[in-house]
Amino acid sequence: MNVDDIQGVILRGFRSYGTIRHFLFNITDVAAAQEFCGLLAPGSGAPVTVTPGTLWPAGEKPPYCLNVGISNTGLSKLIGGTNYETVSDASYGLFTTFGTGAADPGIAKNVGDTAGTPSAPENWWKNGNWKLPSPPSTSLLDVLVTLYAPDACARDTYSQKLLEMSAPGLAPAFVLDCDPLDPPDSIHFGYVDGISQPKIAGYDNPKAGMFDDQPVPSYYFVIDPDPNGPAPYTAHPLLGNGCFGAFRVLHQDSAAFEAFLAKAGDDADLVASKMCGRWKDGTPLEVSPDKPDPSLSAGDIVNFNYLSASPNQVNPLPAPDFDTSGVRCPYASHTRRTNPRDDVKVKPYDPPFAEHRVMRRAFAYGPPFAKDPAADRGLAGLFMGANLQDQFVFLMQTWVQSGSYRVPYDASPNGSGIDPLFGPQPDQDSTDFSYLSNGEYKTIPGMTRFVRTDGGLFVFLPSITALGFLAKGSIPAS
Amino acid sequence: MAASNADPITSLQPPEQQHMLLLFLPVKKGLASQLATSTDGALAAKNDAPDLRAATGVHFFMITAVADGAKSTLPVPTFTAAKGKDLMVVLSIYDAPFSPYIGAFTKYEEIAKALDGILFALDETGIITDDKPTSAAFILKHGGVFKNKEAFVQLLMRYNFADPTIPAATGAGIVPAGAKYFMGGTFPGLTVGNILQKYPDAPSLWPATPVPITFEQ
Repeated sequence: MNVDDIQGVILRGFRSYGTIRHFLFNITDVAAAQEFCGLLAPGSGAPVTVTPGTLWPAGEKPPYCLNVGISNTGLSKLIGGTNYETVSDASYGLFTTFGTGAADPGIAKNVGDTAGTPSAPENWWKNGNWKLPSPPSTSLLDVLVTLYAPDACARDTYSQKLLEMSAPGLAPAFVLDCDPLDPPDSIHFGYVDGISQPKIAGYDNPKAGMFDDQPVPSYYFVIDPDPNGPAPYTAHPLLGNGCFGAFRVLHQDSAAFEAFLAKAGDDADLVASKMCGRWKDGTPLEVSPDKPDPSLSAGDIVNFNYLSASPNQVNPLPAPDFDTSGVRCPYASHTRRTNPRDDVKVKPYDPPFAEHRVMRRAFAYGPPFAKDPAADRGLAGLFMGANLQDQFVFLMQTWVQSGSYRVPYDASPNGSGIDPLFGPQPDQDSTDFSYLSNGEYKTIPGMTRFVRTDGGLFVFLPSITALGFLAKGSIPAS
Repeated sequence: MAASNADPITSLQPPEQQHMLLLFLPVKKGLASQLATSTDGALAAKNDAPDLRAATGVHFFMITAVADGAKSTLPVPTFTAAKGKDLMVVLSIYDAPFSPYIGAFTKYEEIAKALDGILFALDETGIITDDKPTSAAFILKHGGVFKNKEAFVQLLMRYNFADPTIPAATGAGIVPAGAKYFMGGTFPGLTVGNILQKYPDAPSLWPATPVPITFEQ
């Protein structure tokens, strides 16, 4: 793997840089935007450049990190319509979703941004961060740049440098800051996030303890255009060493979420853990069903299965059933449905689910609920994979939005038809959540939608080599 | 009758719905009969290790070949091949929307080869040019269905009379909104996966690797 050619956000993320600014740009001058792409390439000498996947020397960290993504409209502007069509035709499967875009009604419906609901695309980009004089529209968003800094001061400093570089060809259309909560890796519902990321085969990540042990072939996250290679897709060479991502702005209704938990009384923490599949500190229910366990190692919190104990798994349920019926971790829970691990009872039976894994690089925005209950808050960032349709869209469509594994496996009354951390859509009647407490199922009624999509954009994260082609408005030979 | 606390099924998520495939595939003249036989054999044999039945959700399929110029076998017009081509008709009922689950087929080499075999036999002359990503020729030139499953889905939908596929309806005259045709279902939501899990001794009665069955007259 040529890590120097791959954007670092794909391989490792930058979680230790908790102060983030997302810029969504509209291209106003194509030639200048092409030049901007060239400047972003490492080694260009520009004030800020893309951070590649190159491992940093021990004890050294760059003063900032940065990644860039290009939307379908942006790519068409940068390389021209004819080249875009060539790339699209040679990458048909990968472009069915990317080329159509996140705001397409069909795709939006599949991922839960259903027309007529508050999450529908016509309602996006209206949370006060739109910068253009024209009305908010996904069609105006061409380039995503995300800047990661160690603190707010550094974020402002490097943002200014970035804006000076981009100004000739790109106008900021939407800008959103993410700031760390307490604890730093947590989201507004109180859970520690970023656990159990896919482990990319062949990439020796220094923080592998937070990654799943079973490696996922690299071509699910780093596009392999080799026509004779093992990747289950075709890709134009321009896409090589790149990745696709769904940039999402997800408003979180903390008031509704906390109100729902409050109905559980003394069981509120237990219910929160059953909804997620983990206690708020990240302890998996499969490993510690009764309480959080801070003594667990980073490996312990990702090393578990549902239907059979993984090697060295802490405290598994006994064979042969293990947690087949979901008594520890409900089938409905967010983590079990979004990463079923060994659970062959989740449709489709397709072990080891590698082709549907998603790399998450999302962070909290907005102030803590306790500090300012009325403020806008949520989660924003990238959900990445080589094939958006097979990874992000599949996961949202078949596991988060629907799921078909309620009987006879799930011992609870839950329908498993919704992800409880998202809550039901207006047209879904699954408003109860049932959980096991002291050997008895209890049901909390009145679950509402807790997450609203306030923005969505599919982007291509080019390789460093591809940035050079974008700078010239050209594509490599097929 | 045994007492039951179960309520009637009134809502079904997409993965629990039954859909229909009714394909009319244009085939090179003289190949339809051979293709139908080989496709039937390949699809029927590939069930074990792993058992794909719950994932693929195929309840049944029927494949029939119509030779160029063949007359209807009934006293009314039925399937007819285009002049100079054969025709292969495929009928199937399966669980869940087609597109998200096609990977459950194409990732396995045996199935992928069988599906590639269908593409080899197609004659899309006058229908689509070979340079289009969803043409059979283009797919075969670029790695077959394994590397082109989305394009393969689009190819199939080009010849699917039942496109958009229709969830099973319940009760006479109850047609889902947007459906082009009526398709009745006696047990909506009774997926292949549910049958395998719920029916007593299902894995023994219907093993993943089919055993010969005598259909007595």
